[in-house]
Amino acid sequence: MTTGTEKKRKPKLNWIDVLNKLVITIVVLAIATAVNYVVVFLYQKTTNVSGVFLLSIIVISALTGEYFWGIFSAFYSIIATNFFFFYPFFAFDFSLTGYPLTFLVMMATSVLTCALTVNMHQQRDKARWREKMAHLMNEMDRMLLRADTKEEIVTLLMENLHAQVGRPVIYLENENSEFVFLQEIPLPEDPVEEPPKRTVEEKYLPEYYRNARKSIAQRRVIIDDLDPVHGDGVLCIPILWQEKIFGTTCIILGEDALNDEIERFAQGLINHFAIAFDHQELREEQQRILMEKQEEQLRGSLLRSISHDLRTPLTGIIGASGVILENGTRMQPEQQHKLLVDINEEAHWLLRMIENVLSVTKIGNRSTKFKKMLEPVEEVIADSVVRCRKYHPELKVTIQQPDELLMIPMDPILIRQVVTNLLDNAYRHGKSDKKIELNVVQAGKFVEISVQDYGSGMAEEDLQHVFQGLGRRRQQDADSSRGLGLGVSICKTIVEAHGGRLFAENIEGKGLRVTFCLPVGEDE
Amino acid sequence: MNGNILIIEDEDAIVNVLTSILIANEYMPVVAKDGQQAMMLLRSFQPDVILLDLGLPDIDGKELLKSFRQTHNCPVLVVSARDSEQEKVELLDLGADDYITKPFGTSELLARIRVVLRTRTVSEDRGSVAKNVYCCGKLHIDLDKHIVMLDGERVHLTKNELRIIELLGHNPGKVLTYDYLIKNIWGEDMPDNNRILRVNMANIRRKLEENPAEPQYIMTEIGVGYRMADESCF
Repeated sequence: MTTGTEKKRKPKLNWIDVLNKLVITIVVLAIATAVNYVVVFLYQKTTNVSGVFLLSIIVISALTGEYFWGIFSAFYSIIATNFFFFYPFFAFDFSLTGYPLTFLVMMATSVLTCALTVNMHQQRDKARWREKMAHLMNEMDRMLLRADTKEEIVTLLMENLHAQVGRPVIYLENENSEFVFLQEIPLPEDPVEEPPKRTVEEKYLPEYYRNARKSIAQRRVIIDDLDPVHGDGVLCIPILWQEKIFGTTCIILGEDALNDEIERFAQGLINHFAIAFDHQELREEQQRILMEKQEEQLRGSLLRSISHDLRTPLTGIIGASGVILENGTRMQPEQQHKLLVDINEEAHWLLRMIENVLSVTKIGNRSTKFKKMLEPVEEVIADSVVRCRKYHPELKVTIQQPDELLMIPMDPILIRQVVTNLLDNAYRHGKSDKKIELNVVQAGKFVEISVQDYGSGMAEEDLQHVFQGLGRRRQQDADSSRGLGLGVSICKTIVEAHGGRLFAENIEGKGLRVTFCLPVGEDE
Repeated sequence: MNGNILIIEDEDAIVNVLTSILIANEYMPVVAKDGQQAMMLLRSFQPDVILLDLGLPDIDGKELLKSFRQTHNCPVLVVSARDSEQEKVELLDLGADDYITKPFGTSELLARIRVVLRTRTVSEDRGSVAKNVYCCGKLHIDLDKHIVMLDGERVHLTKNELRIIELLGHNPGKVLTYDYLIKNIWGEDMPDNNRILRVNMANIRRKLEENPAEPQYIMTEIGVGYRMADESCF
């Protein structure tokens, strides 16, 4: 059996291999000679001698899988037959009648047998190899189905390539001719159970870079030249599919080159993944188109929400002011005051809705990017709280945030809108004496901002509807939740336009928690 | 009487609201409905504060502001329905003393008027010792001696932090734009990035504010600049 890892150090292993086969050959031939000797000694007949030797040749060919040993055995058999079993015993006599014929027949038979068994051997190896490859490819297709992002595909490629080649591998992504993403799987000595490290050792880096750069540079010039680039101990194979480059894989070879089979396999594997990369890109493109469609829908649903959400407070304002105008002085002062308070509240509510709508027009469509600036999160949050207190002076909120200054790229006005909306929702829907909690946490490449109220939470069905869908809650309680659908969909739009995510969950023993995360962005 | 106020505004509904608020608070309002009238009244009426609406029928409010500034030093409070941070910055740079966005509450309007009136009085009698102290809650800044005290204890600030807080302390209640602060502290040739200012501000807040997440003394006007709490706020 030749597996990838056994074959990788071909020059060293060969000697042991040769020795092995030599031993096999000698043992088998010794047994055959012994058997013949016994037979000839017991029965004084030489009819079976060539048969036994022929059998031994077949066995040796089958075991070693190489012509050399078969032919070697054939020679031995002919000579041994002459030497041991024909008169004069233990001496050569080439003048025996028919000896040249026997020699020729024996030789031809041996060569033919050898050829057949070796061929069978190779066929079996090839079949096993193919089976293994097919199995691997199948396995990989299955895993690729679950890989959504380019990064996941890259990880899969690296892991599989490493497993098959048994060398450290590096992935270089060439975006705008700069390599932005490096990934390395450690040398095979590391225990398999450990998750693969993704660090690039400094000592490897310069060489890789040079080679990878060369490879990609050449790819740029001759796009249909599919040959991998061999360089100082590194094999660089571009991930190419239909004139698109998805990056370059570099296999560290050191002093031992890969054998042809493994290299072909590596190439095949990479080509296979190139298709996966292409599919992933297509999927992303589709997703983008879908998003654009959804945005259109969102805008439509926004308009519907607006007309509904604005009509209700306007009715209140027109009604109340009408009553005051018509009845004037005849009204009780308290009654008049109550109506005026209503008018004031409704008008403020309208104002907030209009601010929401305005912020959406600012985002426009995804293709025109709005201006993002590095802004301190704490300032935006503080201002949001101040704003919200203008409408709800009794708003109680505890703010927890990291000590260090977090500055992330955003449109501060829009993010303030999001935080204000969330606080407003938490205040109005989470009727409770307990303070609202506003938490800011940095989680890797994202900053998470969550607003937790101590209300009764929200029915799962409504959660789905409001936070995942585009519309408002169920129609029957549209009035009690007025503005919620609109406010949330606006928050979602704003957060997603920043490359973040917004989601809500009911927390046992607390209430509703709405969280949004924003990418920290590239370090300057 | 608290002062003469020139209202430059063309919409009757707003004019009605403004005049009734001002009269109720013992100010003396006069209304100009367009730019021409405004320029005339500016000379004859000698207002203490101008409330300027940007959308006028005959001239752009910004142009009017520019021509005011060439001849008069009278404080201008811009009343605008346009809610763009860039525009606010532009107006402040053109020489407006403050701005207020429509719609506004009565108390907000009155507070802003008080601030612009006082800022002017202070800058007019610069030199009087008593005026060069900023006091707000537990914070006490001696602008002449460059000493910042919080709850009776001296606060140690770096040179730049001190300069920022003094600039703001000289103009309590007034928004100072990021640009203005950076140019005054780091000079004109500072690269166009306000990160350094933000970092300094974050440090100041950590030294002065009880809870930097809910500042009491230095407010942020998102996208515009910083505003030191007005003395009358407590």
